[in-house]
Amino acid sequence: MVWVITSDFQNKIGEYESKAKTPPKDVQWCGNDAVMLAWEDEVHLIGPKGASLRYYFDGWVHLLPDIDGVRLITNDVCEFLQKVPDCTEDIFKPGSTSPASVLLDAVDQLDKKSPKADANIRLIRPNLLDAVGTCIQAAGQEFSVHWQKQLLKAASFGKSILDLYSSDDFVDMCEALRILNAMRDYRIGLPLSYDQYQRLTSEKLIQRLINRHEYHLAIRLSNYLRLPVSKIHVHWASQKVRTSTEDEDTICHTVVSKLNNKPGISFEVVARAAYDEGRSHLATQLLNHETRAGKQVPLLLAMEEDEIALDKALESGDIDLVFFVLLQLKKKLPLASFFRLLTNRPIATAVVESSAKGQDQELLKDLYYQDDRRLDGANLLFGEALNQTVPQTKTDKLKLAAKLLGDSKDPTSTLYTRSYAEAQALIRVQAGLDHDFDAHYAGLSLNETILRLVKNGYGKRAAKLQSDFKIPEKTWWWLRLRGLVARRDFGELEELSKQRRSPIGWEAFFNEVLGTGQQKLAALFVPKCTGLSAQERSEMWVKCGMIVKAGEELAKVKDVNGLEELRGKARAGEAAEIDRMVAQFRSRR
Amino acid sequence: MAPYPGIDTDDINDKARKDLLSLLEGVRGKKNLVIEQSLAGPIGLFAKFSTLQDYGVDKVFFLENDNLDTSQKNVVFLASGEKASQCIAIAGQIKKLQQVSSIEHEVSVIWVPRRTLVCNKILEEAGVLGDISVEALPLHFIPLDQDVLTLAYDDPFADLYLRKDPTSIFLAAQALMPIQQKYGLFPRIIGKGDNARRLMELLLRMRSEAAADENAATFRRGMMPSTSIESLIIIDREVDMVTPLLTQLTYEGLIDEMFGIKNNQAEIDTSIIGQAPGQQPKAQASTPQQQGLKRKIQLDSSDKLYDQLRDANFAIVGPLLNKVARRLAGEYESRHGAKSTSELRDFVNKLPGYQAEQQSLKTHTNLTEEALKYTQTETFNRILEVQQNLVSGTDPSSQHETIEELIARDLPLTTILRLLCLESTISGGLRPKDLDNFKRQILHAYGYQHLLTLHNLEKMGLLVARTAANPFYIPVGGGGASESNITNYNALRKSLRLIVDEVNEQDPNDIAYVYSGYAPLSVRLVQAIIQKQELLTLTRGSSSDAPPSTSSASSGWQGFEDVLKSVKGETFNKIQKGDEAAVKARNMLTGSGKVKTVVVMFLGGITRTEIAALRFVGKGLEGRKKVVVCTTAVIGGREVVGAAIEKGDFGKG
Repeated sequence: MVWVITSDFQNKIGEYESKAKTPPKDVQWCGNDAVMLAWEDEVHLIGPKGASLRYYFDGWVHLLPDIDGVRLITNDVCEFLQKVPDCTEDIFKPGSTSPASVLLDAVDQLDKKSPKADANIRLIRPNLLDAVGTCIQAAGQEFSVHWQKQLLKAASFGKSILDLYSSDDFVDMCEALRILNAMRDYRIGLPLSYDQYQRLTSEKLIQRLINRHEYHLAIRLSNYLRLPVSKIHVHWASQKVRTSTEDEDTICHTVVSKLNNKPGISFEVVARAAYDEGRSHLATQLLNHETRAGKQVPLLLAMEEDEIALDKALESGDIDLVFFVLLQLKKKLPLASFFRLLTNRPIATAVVESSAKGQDQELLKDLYYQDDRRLDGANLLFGEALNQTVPQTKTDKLKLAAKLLGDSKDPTSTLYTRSYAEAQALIRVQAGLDHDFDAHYAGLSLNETILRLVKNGYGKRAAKLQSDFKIPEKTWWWLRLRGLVARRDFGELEELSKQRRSPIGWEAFFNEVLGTGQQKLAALFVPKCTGLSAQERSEMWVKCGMIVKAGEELAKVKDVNGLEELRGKARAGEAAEIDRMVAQFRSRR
Repeated sequence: MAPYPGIDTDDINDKARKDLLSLLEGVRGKKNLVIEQSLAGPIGLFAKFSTLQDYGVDKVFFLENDNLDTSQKNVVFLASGEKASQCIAIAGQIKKLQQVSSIEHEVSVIWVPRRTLVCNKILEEAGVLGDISVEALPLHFIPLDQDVLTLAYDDPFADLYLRKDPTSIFLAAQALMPIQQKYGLFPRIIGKGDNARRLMELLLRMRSEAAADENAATFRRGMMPSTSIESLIIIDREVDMVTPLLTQLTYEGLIDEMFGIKNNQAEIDTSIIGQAPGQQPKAQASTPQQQGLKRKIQLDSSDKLYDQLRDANFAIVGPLLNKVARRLAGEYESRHGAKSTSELRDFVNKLPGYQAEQQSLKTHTNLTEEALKYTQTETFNRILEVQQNLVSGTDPSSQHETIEELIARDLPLTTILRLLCLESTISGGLRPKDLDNFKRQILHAYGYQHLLTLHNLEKMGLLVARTAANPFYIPVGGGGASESNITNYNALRKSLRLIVDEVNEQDPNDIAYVYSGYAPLSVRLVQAIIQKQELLTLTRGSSSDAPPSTSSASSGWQGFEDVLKSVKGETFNKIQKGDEAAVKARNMLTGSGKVKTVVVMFLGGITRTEIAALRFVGKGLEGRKKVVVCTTAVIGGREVVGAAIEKGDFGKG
């Protein structure tokens, strides 16, 4: 006894009494409105409204539900049982007068050149649209090619009469049928119904074909449906690589010649298949054809093709990838072979260097030692010296660095060793100064140290440093000047002005002193600036506020225009003086 | 300003903002944001802090400060995925957070611009990868202005030339790819320099990689040469190191030299420019010691006044400001002349505009005064004199005395190094004896730690000794070698007319105005591609001997092949083709005559003056073409030598 009820257990839709004594072995839905009961060799199909059918078999039968029917599997056949779809029933039911059925008849009549065709059309004219739709639907449900054609013909005839009709359904159906018929061919043996195909989607269908190794058909199908074919190619190639018994070069050649220049091909997948099969040489060869380094490199690493992996990563220009490879390799390889990989790969070396800086000094030291890059090694130690906090350890590190450079004769090394020595000396001096004056000299540069000494009035010590470190005269004078000005030690400056010549000229003294507002003192230096023109000197006098002196300067070179200009700047008393000078020239002329 | 044809920068901004905000939105509720310091600026360009707050950001921490607290359950890290050190820092902070805090935190990390294998690895090894969610923010180019795009990558200059780490080339290529996808392939990629060539090769490679990708169908559309972009010109900074070493003499350049401009913002002491208008009363009331306070001012084309001034030579900024001031005053006075109420209403409507303009005028007048003070100092003029003498080819040793004096007077190290590097690059190295002497003086004056600085500069090829292997004079076009390994300025000075004696700063007639007489070589190279006729006229003095029909659109380097031999690095010119038939069909459909864009990519950085010069070139194209500048970073001399300078000293302890 079977009851078919709605899912909320409220309404009963159908009821069926099987009259069998044993309970059924299996119960399945057949489509969405029929139920199937199965005993050992008997199947009952229960349709809506109590309609039912019985089938008998010779042996055991098994049910396999599908979305629109049930597959029956017995010892020798597989059958597909489906309730006749409504549209088909509509047309082919004996004595049917539905518009679609009339339309089909009209086509028949048309073939016979009978005028009844026209009469038929007139008859169903108001429902023609539905009729065409039903015909198309029914064609989809049809397994027989003849009837498919017939129904489509009817639909085509019907739509030609309609004024406005979108042929999309028709075209889609034709396409689908073409595919389904190809699938149903006995050589392929995929008897899909239209509904199943819709549910499956064409992509999955292609996947099924690929799984059955029906590559040719799959490609044709993809082209027909305008779907990408790359996956098919890749699957084919992977299969080829797995199963082919030819030698590896031939395989590689066949695969590559087929797949090259096709868009979307992932050689990585093929290569992985080859590698999984144990054909690592082939895999490497295939990987060469993979354009995306991001895919190549991890597989190469897995295959332990370290060197190739590194090269490929470098080729890609993606530093992340390079870094990744290097990280892996550094962990895996002994240091010596790791460094060997780096030689002749400047970018890889650069990556290692920049990443190790500040993180792994020891690695860098080893690297520089291995490559005999002493200067870099020395710099590294020098950098460490900078980070030391105690004067003693600083000098120790510097000594180490100097030792590394040895007694190399090239000019850079000499500069380095000399600078190391000086730096050590300076550190010692500064430590001494810190101790003596209880001030923080450490960290200052040599010039700064001298400057500060001068500033604080320890001229003697400064002078000693100057001679010890062989500071050039000019620099020394500048430092003294700046130091004294900052100290406002004008007595000392005046003392300096008594010297006969200064290596930096006297103009600098003038400017610096004037900057402090000491016009009088600054004026001391004006006459010493013999290298300048009279006009420039005159300007300097003006800056000191000594207009008369400026005038005299100009008078010496007989610059009347300059004098007259000067007059404008002059104060009352001075103006007279200037006037006098001007007059002097005028009268002479 | 009219939207730029070709590359729409607003579009890039919008997309970046949307991407960031949607990532933030992905983390529910309030969150603390930990951001890498160097990313904060670029992000500020397109997303305001208040916007971030709207999306639930509670507090912002800098990754470098390592001071993240546990106040929020959700923590979002935002950092560059290219740097392992950042990643290690993040891993450490996450671990710390997990140990210290009593509640379970939800941590997410957003990598810019992409998630990298290395960072995955580091997080995995730190044992935190499983507990956090990882995202990527594909932030490539960020528009600094309508026509300037830059990478959001910290310090590409030092990476590329000091550490020889080509990450920025890769990032540049990645950043250019979306442009190709959107607007079509660059029909021509042309450039100069070894790194530039690498970039070109990467672009080609990425194109084939993209083609090999699964979703090939989506890209196929972009596989056609673009109709709106004419070409991509790549210039490697290495080709022309002289230009960034010189003091920039445009208004914007000078502000950069004095205060430094970062991400369109400059921090300037309030004693110079005064308080921001909004906070004036409050600031006065609260703290008396406002002296050392700095104020950030925005410097971009949204400020109309600044837009006029920025690319002008500093010499004419004063008069320009004067004119604007007078115009403003005049317009303001016009209110007295207003007769009818409607006129008066018009005036009132314009009032806020006036006030904004007035404010900006005040700021820039103050800045100009300050800059004027700076340019009138003796040392500034001495430095400028040395620079001008060096570029115009006087015997470099005549300048040594001045440089030595400047060292003794303890000028900033960067200034000195810029001068020395300038000399070295122009004349192919210093004489070993001179170099040794200078090195000693620098070590004495600035400390022995600069042994490392000098070493770095040598590594970058900026400060080297002239040796037999590094000859001074390379016979032009001789030896058959088409790629020279240094740029020979002595040859180029003439053949590209780098020195223009009579520049008109008032109404510039040549790009040389940006350096008051020196035309940046890099921009001259760009001109050699897109402004052939003008450049030929300029260099040969007459246009008659130039080939009559230079259809400059298709000739690449033509006409300048010989000149290029004395410029460092490889020369290349690559044409990207699409499907012939499709191109033909499309040409039939669209026709020509549209304004095309020329994308100029400066690999390794561009100076503000070069941007100004390129804008000037763009104007000279009379609307036939537009120039869009892409770069890895905006740099100046400070960044160039700053990359090398060792910051530590012996003062520890």
